[in-house]
Amino acid sequence: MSVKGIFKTLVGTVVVMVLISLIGEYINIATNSALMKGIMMRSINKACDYFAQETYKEGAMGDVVGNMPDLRGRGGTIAGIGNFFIGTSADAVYDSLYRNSSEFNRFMTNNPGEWRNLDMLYYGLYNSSLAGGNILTDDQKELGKTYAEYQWTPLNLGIAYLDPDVLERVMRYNIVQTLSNGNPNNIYNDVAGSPYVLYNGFKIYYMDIQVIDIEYVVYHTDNADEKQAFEDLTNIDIDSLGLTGDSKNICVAFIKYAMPLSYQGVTPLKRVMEYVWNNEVKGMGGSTTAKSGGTFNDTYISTITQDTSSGTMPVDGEIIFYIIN
Amino acid sequence: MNDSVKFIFKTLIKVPVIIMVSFIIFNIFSWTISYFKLVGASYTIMQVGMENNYIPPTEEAAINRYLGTLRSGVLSNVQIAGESTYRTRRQYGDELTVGVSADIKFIWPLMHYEQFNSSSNPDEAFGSGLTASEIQQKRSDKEQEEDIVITYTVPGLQYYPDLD
Repeated sequence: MSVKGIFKTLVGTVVVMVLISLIGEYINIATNSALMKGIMMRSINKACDYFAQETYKEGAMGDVVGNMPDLRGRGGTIAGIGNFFIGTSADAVYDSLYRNSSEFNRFMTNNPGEWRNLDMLYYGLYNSSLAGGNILTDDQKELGKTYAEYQWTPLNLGIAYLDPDVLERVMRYNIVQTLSNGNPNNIYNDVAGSPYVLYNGFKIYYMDIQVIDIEYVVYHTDNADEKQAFEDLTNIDIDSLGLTGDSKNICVAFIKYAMPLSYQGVTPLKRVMEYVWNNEVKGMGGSTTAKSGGTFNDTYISTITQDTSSGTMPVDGEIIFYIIN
Repeated sequence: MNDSVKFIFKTLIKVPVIIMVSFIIFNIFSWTISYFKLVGASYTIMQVGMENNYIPPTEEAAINRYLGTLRSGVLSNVQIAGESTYRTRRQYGDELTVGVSADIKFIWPLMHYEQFNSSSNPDEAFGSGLTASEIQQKRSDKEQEEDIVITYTVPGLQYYPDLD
């Protein structure tokens, strides 16, 4: 074989390998990104359900106050990941979610007078009426105290209020557990930067998963436009439900979330390019052979934010959650 | 050897080669299509498992109906795979391994086809010299082979207040 032939073969081999790798990566991204998004949305949806089931209350999940055992990764246990609720008793958790919660207060302040029963619960919790809320009779105030005493919540009254911090923690737990495929080796919590779950070439930085905002919209089904808007949103026929009283005002929580992720790939392509990227030719520019440290993704982990303009890959989305009483 | 004889021999070799290459391409194509169909099915099964922490009977029946539509000359024995206790309800966070399995058959020319239809006459069904129960045993052994198995281990995401 001539020298020309040898070079042709070398270049041809490299081109074919790169092309095969690119096709492999393309198929992987095309199939797994859709699967991953579905799994994430399911995990978030079930996190909402989990919060709504109020597992911290007595009798639920034994004596762990609704929390779960911590998960294990390559670097050992992920401390605190199963610790959803703040407090060591049902009373303490209830107080943190409603009695001492600025988020619950914000929800109440933004929705005064929408639901009489909720205003009664508010009175029971804070021993004062909500500004702009319903005018309560003495009997209703007493009933409100009973609501608080028995740890009633907006969810018990058919109002979709979610604590964003708890929701975020349950979401994180669900996503780590589902995307790791039950294998601790897929959880990279032994890295210097932000820990991640490796799912078919995708790195999901689970500690950076965020509930950005929960926006509550109340649909007054007495109002024809709002009723239509709710039906368009949920495909539910309101007329067939026969709603009365407080139930006519349906609260829908629009949950905005973000999940920073990057793509590592499943073929050796990235490793080859990374090797070239991280090495310098000896003597070139007066430097010696040295790894510069950091890689494509990990070097810039600090820039992975929920701001899509950052040029990284946060997967942000929105789901809705509502209860019809 | 004159050219015409050479041509005849070349053609004699070319024809089976072309046939084999065509079958190889067909098999690659059919395997890819079948694999992606199974990926889709396994994903659906996994979602059901994740949603309920197990595969409820009604969902299992619906899944089996769908898996039945995937059976073809290439795919057979398409069934729910994973742990045997996938019908058992479990608590939030408990793991469930579930997915799909199938036998894939590569099609080649002059291939022997095993007859799986039941027959009262063993000679008609599976050669001679075997009893009906032996034939059945052979078939069930064959059916346990799983060429493609796609399973996921997922946590149950549904909390059941009545379970510990």
